[in-house]
Amino acid sequence: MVKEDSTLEGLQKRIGTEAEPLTFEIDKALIRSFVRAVGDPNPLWQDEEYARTTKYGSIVAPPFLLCALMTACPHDSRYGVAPLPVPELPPPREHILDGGEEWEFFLPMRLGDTISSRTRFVDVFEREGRVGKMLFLVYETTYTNQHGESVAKASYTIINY
Amino acid sequence: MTAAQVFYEDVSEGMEIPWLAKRPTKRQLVMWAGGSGDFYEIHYDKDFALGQGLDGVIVHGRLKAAFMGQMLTDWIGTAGTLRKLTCRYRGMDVPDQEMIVRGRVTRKYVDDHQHCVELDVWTENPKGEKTTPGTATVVLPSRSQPSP
Repeated sequence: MVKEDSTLEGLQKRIGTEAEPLTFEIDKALIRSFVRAVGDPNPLWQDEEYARTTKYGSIVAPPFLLCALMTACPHDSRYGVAPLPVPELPPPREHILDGGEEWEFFLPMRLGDTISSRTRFVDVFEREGRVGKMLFLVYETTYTNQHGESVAKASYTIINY
Repeated sequence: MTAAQVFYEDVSEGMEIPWLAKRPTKRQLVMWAGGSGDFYEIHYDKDFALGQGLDGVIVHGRLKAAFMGQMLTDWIGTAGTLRKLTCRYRGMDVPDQEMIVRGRVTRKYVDDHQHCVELDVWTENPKGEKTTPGTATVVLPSRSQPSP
């Protein structure tokens, strides 16, 4: 990483940096591998007949599928071992703390939907903490379906010192 | 999720919602790594984890977030909607031990005809420590106004 990026001013110049967009299709295999990993037997995610009786009318992906398909993924080992929201912009200082993560869900993701996600570095600020000055790096991901509708939004904060 | 549908009127501030018991195995962490693309080695490679100063592999934070999502969607049933989930990965959890996922209602209100419920949610380790505190907002159906 070039040196100027380790300063607040250097990082501020890079606000708006975007990770490579990701596109994924909501299909049965994706849902299955996800709910198996979580251990979630809810039939709404997998049983067409059951799902038809609900307000959704068909299978939907669990909204928290997006906890897996966050910005960090796929994990790119070129940029170090830890997954980074915007791999091209690694936090410049040595230590990383989690500053919290949030997801907002606007619309269900249905079987056959194609979801595009875009992750951007949206903010950086510095605060005095217990261990001195700490950088807060904020990333935002938007998820859009094939109709151009916004289905979800996520944000993630990394504390770096 | 086979329980009866919960309605806005059934909810009161301060009440706990049904908890979810999990016991993530190492196999589950590998499945999550494959499913999510998060191949950070601290979640499946013990030697690597030891080299990072950890006592062994640790559970993915986002898997814990997904557990909270599972608890919430189980509770709200098919007529409810999960609107928002937030969390912080405050403490590390290790695989092959019990984790309880819990939630407590902090507020209920009607906003633009939507019957909203806010909750504190968290995962708890066997010592009773909240390792993943968070919040959630859900919309529930109302008995007075069936959801569209």
